[in-house]
Amino acid sequence: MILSLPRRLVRLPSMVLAGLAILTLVALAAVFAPWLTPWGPEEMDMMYFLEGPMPGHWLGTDANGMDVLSRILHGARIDLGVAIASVAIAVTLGTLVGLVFGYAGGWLDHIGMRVLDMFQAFPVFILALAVAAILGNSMINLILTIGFINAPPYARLIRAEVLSLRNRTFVEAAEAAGNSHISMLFRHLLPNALTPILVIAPLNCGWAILMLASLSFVGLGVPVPGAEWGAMISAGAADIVGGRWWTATFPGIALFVTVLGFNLVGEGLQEKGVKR
Amino acid sequence: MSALLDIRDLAVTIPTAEAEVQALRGVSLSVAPDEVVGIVGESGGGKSMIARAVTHMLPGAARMSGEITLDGRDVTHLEGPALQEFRGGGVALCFQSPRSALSPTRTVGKQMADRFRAHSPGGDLRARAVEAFQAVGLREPERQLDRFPHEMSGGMCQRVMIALALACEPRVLIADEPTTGLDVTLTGEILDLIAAQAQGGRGVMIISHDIAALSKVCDRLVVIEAGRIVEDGPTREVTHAPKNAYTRRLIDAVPDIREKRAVGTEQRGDTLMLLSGVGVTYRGRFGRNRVPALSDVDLEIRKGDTIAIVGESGSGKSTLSRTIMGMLKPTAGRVDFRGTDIARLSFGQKRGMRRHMQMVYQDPMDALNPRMTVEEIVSDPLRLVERDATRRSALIDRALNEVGLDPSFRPRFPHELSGGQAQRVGLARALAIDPDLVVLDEPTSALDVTVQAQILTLIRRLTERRDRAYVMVSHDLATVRALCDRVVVVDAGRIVAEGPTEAIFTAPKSPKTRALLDAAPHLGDRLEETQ
Repeated sequence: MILSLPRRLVRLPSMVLAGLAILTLVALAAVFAPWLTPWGPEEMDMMYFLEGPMPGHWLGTDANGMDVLSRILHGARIDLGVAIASVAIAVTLGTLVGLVFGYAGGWLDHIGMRVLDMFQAFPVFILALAVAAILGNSMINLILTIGFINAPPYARLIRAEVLSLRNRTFVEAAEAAGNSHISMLFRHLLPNALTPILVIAPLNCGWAILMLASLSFVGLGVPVPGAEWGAMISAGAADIVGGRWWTATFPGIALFVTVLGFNLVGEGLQEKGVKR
Repeated sequence: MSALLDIRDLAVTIPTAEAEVQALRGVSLSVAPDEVVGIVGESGGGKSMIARAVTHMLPGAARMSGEITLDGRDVTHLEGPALQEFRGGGVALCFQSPRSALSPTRTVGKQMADRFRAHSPGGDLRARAVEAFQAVGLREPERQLDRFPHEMSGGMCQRVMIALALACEPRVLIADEPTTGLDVTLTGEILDLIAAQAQGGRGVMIISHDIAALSKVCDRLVVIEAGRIVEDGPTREVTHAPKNAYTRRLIDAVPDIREKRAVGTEQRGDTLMLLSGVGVTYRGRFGRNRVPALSDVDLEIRKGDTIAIVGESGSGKSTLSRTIMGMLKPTAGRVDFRGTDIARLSFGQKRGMRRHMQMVYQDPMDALNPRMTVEEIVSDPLRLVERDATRRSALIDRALNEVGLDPSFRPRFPHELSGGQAQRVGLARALAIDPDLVVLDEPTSALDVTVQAQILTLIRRLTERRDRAYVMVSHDLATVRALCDRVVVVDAGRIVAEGPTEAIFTAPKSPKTRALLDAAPHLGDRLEETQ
């Protein structure tokens, strides 16, 4: 399995490989952030406030004299971490719910799906805003909020897969072979229903980062001194008017590139799925 | 005889990611006016490629060489309006699955009118459509006009398909596996209808894997193996004195309806399952249209029995087999298995019963979980009884051995198996747990003919041990006679005949049984005719 991995990787479309390359770079930047720059993310350089790119501060400093480059590198930790953790929650939760609804059918399915409809009736961002405002904006709360909000589409996706799988002979064969409900769900249905998740999850990671950045932008995300891209863009937005473009633009580019990476992976996989 | 359609040295190459696939190599054949040519071969042999090459419908990347002429005119490289004219009036094609080849959103009458408008406009299109439907034997053609394809049966759709193909008076009619998915009686009717179009100078080409069915209607047979023609000659010569080894294999694989079950015992074992007054009614939408799929079925299955359930498609034989398996809850009656009424059991209680009854399915590929290895598939039911992994592993080897598969198959996934191997895995899964009752749902109908023969031999060997009961659902009477002790004939949800196989075959009492017997395709009657 491990040995066959490189060969499998080569067969992936170039889009996916490009996306993976970008994400690997971002991940490496996140992991090695403290060693890549001499400045801490919240460390202030009293000599330079709002200075443009220059040796020592390659991407300039912000209004507090913090190094933009090191804040971006450290921000990758938060943004990537929150995105992956929240999507993991969404996938797990959505998959479980969709699997059970699709398999059980009947009234449980009917009621369950209507509850999901209720959740999805709210605009996603407004819901996130409300939850974040009520629960407070700690990191855990942000992850949970974004995770919960993204779960219903996964539930729908898996349920639809399960419904079509139930018409396949091998599912009936599995029941005739004497499988329990648990093993029907997790041995026979789940592995066959997972493929579309692989496509959606990376796209969703991109969305999750944007949502976190948006929440931070309106002040409900990562608290102020925290190095997070959305918060940095928000804080830097005012500086642009005064011609200090670097405080908002560079985190914006980081955000764009990372989301692009996720989208390339997701859409590349989707294209592969369509062809198959 | 001057040829109508003449194919010379046709070769088709399809480039794939790994290598170039030679779909056809040096194929030369011709169809004369008023002649019915059958093209026979197994799946993957390239027989459909001939139809595609002639009608210029090869897959995009395919490369073709050779020469195709119609009435002496070169039609190998046609384009634009000339190609359109050729496709309708020159060569017309009937597709494999008529229901999916018809547009689902337009009534068949409108589709018929479209066809007339495109190729020979004028006149009262509706009247012409009625006439065309009448010609292909559709009953009440006026009423059929306003129906959608999904409201028609498979046989009716195929008739519409033929009417569409004939609409522009083609010089040659090509039918690509026109009877897939139809039952025996219909297969005969449709093939007769297609063959009857070879008149007034028109030639007919029928492509099929079923040499027995083709031998009934074709003047000439062309046998294709791996992209090459291995035999080409008058039907009688090909079926009676095949020169080629592959042709002989195809012919030998056709079950002979006169072949009888080798061992027959008068004595039957203990009762295993007893169905009494079983009825199944499917509820229609919103509780309306209650359709009885089975009514008042009594059946006794004893240890050592090999019972065939025979009937046309839609007769209720699959409902019956699923009821026996406890997959379907009957709406009336009792299904007693080893002294318990399994119709009343919950999911959990049924699980306990599963170790005594197992099922083998029609389409082996669809019946195996695509994400599991052979080992996991076979061990699936075993997990019910054997918790110990090493002992389970020994049982897996034993089951694989029993169906003639090497233990080296264990790590393979279903997509790495051939159809025959997949069906062997399906059998191994059913046998691994050593059940008392095995239900086989048309276990060979999705397989190629030569593979069918192998699987039937395997099943026969298993049933002759008489250590358990086998119930085999089938529409093919020839295999049933050679394989089963008893036959149950189902028609419209009722058992219309039941008894020892020979009694049913030699003196069929019910008209339905006789109809099924007459329709069974076999090379045997061909032999008798010529003697």
